[in-house]
Amino acid sequence: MVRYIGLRLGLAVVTVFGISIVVFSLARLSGDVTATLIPPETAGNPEQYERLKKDLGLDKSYPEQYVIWVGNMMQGDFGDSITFRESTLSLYFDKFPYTIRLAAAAFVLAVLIGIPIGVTTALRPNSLWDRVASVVALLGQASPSFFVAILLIFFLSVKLGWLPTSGPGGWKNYVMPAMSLSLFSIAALARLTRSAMLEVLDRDHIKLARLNGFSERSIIWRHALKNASIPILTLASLQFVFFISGSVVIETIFAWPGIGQLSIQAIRSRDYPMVQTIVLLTSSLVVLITLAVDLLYAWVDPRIRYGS
Amino acid sequence: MTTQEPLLRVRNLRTHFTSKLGVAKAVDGVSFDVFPGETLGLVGESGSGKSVTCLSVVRLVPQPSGRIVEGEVLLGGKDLLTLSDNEMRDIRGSRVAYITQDPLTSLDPLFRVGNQVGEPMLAHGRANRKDVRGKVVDMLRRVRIPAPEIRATQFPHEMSGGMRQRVVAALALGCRPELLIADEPTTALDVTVQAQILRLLRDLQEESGLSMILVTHDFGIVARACDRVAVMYAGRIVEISPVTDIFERPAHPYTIGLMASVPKIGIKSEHMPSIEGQPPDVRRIPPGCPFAPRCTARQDRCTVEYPPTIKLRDQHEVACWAVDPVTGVPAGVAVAE
Repeated sequence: MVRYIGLRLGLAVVTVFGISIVVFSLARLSGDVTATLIPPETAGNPEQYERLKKDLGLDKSYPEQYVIWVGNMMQGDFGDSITFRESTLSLYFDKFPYTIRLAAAAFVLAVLIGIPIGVTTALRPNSLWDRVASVVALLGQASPSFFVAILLIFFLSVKLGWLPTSGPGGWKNYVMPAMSLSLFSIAALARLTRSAMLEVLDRDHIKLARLNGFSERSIIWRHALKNASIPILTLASLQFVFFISGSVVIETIFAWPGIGQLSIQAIRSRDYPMVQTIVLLTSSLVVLITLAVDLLYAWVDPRIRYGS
Repeated sequence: MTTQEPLLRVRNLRTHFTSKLGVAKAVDGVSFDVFPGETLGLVGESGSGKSVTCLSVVRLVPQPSGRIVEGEVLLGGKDLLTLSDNEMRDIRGSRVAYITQDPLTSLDPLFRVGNQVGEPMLAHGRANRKDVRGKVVDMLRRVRIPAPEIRATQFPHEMSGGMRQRVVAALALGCRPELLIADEPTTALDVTVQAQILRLLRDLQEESGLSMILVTHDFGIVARACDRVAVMYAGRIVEISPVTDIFERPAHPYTIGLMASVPKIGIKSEHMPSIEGQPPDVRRIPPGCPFAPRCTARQDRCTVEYPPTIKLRDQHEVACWAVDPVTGVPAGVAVAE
């Protein structure tokens, strides 16, 4: 187990290191940053161009720039945003709570709705409930989130006036963004859970349990669901990652002041230190989630713990 | 034994499977008794209805295609087929326990062995959270597992096949059932382990007076482990007899063929004797005796009408037109050599 954790941790560190190289390169591959930052009126002024380049440290060689960037980060300095003239790190963590709260709300919805639907439909395949659920799930997976969001706003806010259309606030403000963000995931989780459960329910150890009078609740929710949980965990964690990194569209529609909005602003204004920080931190979070899921696998399945 | 009341009495049991291809009569009019403390062997080729018969006894025929269409399954005089689902679940594991074929897949890989063995005891109120641990260890000791305290905390993948089958036996017998159904409990194990498991089941039976139905296709196991044996073919019992009698004087041509196809040590033969042809498709059972197309003692009426069951000797019954009811000898059986 210790070996397993050590190995996963080592891999995570290597991955974050790799991400930093990719992020650094991408920021510079998108063109001459200095030139894009200079207003068009003064574009003819080479002196100003050189001065800006020097101020930003972009006159040094790429390896030098990279080492300085990483070195500063090691000391907690992620660089200042060009547009906000403020530490990118504190800007990121100002916005982060909004995104993580929305992601958590969407995740809870996806898990608490998707998994029970999957389990109950697997118990009676081809029943009426199974058919209805599979049609709804198909629709859910086929509907783009922005479309769902607009429909929800139209009906629940404009027509019925039940929920606020935008911005953070009380729990009511979470309902529509979380719903539109999680609809796809509810459907995906329901379908995956159903097929994983169907496969497990047919296994010998479930049959032996039934033959020897285990309670139905224990067979389904303890034995079968735990055995079906590895693929479910994998998909659920990917969905959570998607809620954090992919909420750009939903945050824009609902004027949600999270990381999604921050990244759009940063990209529009060519604020490359901001973009670098956002991409690096969000990617690292994804690595962290993956690490947590790897440890969860080992907790669920003892064969992973002892296997190589 | 003859004077005793049977523990289990199965009468005219019919279990059919319905699919687009038609109705498969997997079990089609099976009757037998199991007496307290005895082991009844259930023998036959694959698809003869042995397992479905056993699953019908505990009412867990594969759904939704399978259905028990007729019959009685009396356990201690009470018809299990009339019980509610909840009452039936309470019988499974407490009065009738079950061991399945493959010990490598029949334990949950994600739960500690001790938890699994304890679960039927908890489900049937034979143990509570506090004393279950001790009872599990006792049970593991009863199935001769060394260091049961340590084994209880292990996972199935940390054990050998024979050890896992012992765990399955402990799981099944934890509530001290009256009847154990063992569906080919040793088929997946190698021969030396097979012998150990059979001896263990025998020992446990002697300790607790348990009755057993042992499903197998191996006459060697029948000889070693059973008191009586029922031979099944195409969903029916064609012959049922005490083990010693059936080995000395088999009556049904199918039984004779089945015994002849067991290889004998010390006798060299050019080819393995076998019964020509295939068992019939249980969706299209021909009229008359289903064995008739493969039978060397076939008579004209065999393909017209199913033979009645005739009593030959004490507890020895057979369903065959060719068998002489007085001598018990089938006329005209040719055994391939």
